[in-house]
Amino acid sequence: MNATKVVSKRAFDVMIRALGEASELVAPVSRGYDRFSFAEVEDASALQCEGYIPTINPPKKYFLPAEEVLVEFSAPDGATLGSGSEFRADAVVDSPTRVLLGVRTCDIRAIAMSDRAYADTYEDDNYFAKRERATIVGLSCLEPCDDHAFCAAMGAENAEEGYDLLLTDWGDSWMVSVGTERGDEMLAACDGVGEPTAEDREQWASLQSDRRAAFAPVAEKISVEKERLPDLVDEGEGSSLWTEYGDLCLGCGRCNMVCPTCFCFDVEDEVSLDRTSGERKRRWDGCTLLEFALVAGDENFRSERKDRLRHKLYHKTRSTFDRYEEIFCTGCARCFRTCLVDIYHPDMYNALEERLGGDSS
Amino acid sequence: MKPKVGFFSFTSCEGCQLQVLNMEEQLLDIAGAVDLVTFREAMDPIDGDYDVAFVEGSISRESEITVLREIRRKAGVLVALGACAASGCVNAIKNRFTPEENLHEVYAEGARHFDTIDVKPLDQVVSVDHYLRTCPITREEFARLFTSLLLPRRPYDPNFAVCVDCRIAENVCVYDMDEGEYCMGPVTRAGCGALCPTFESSCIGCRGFIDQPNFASMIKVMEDYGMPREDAIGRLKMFNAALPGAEEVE
Repeated sequence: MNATKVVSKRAFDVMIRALGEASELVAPVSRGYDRFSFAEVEDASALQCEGYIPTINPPKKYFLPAEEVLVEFSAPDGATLGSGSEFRADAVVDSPTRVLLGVRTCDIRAIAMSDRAYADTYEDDNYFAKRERATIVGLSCLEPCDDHAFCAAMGAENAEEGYDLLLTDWGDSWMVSVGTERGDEMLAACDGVGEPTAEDREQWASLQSDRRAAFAPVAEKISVEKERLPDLVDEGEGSSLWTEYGDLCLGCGRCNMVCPTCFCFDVEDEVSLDRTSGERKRRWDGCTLLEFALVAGDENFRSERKDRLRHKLYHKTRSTFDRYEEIFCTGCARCFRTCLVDIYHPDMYNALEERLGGDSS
Repeated sequence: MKPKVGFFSFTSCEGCQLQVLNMEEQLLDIAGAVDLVTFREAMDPIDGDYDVAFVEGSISRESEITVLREIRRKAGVLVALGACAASGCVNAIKNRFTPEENLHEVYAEGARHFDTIDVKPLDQVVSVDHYLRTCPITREEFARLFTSLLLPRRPYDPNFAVCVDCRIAENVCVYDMDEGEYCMGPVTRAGCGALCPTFESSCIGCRGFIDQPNFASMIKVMEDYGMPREDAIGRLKMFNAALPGAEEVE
């Protein structure tokens, strides 16, 4: 556990409001119908958004916006753009200063995963311009947010790093874990920051044991250890499971869009009607969509829904494990909540393990 | 030399031509970039060939087939302008009945003066190079396609579901609202920015189906949320009865 302090919610709110004068404050906000979105807020009260299950879209939207202009280009004066014409191009890097409030540990873990992906090979300026100017104030879950989350099976019900501050509800106060120097500075700006008392420490230990008990069944949602998943998906490549789920899958791409660890995008140019200027934009893309793996010559590496669904799980497990030694899934279950045909990754892993067990016997 | 462009119309409400004329602040850019040779809603026709034909409407009479083939012969590029041309649109609902039934229903005693056939989108008669979907077309998509043809470059024509646009807009899904909306976003082509779901209405499929639509799962979803199977099938076919694959919807 990182350095822990106790600070009154009131003092914390004063500090956050002050931060809000120079930066955008965002937090989960109810959208009705038991759905939530990260949106701009005025103060820290939104931190305690009641009944907050993972938001419709994850906080990645602040670092990798769903649609983002990368380049603006234009023709010389009096000329128009066209094949082989001269043009001027300027990179566009939007870098607002933001404080993300009430980020669940699953999303803290996911942000750390995207950080690795976006730093890989070429550091992505547009991503890091926003990421580096973001402050992350996390919020510990005291119990599972609903019956679908499988965070504990993926080890994401806790976060040891990836936040500036991580808050735990402590009645009129917050128990605050400090993750970075930035977090230290924030606390230094709060009035009445105290050390936990002996009584606090005792209560903390009992809270942690209650949490472990509450999350223990969640960890059971997947019948194998998460370290086994890459091999499981590998060994199950030819399983009939993919055909069954491929027949069920709508191929609509919702699961990709709402996934906090999906990082793929497509790039498209838009030119103004008078052809004097234009923009190059990127936009979220997803591997469950038909044209994701379509290349020149009309070849499609994954032309059927079952291939694409299998690829999604393969990439979340085998590919990312081999490349980053990490399984790019936090068990937030956004993919399940958005799925109209109830495709649930734990069900698929469990069925695969069961069938493979059957095959080998 | 400026490309010659014609606008043509078959069975439709001509609302897609009107959408082009509604682009008031951009009309001069459009008219300035090309030579218009015919535009029924805007001018008298000029004789001759054309480089680009924007063709609105579905084909519902034998005589229209002849005219469309002539347009195809003269046009370098043929664009289906709007849902009627691209997928048949609501006109194709009549395909559920025989031509005789339709004639009698609409014209009664006067039916002998008319002929009619099953409604076809343009590409069931001639080859189509590009599609502008939606009922009616959006001005933004027209501008985008028009610009792509002038540059020239491959036009943007998404072949993924409306759900993608809807998640990007971060709407609450109308199925999560469970207020009697039966959205067909999962099988309908995106590009409209999920306009209807953004205003808490279902997608009713006016842009036609994505490739590889999963009709069985789509019908099951609508049934699970309370719509009788027969109605779910009718809903899938409302705009798309003439599309290949629609016969699989049973």
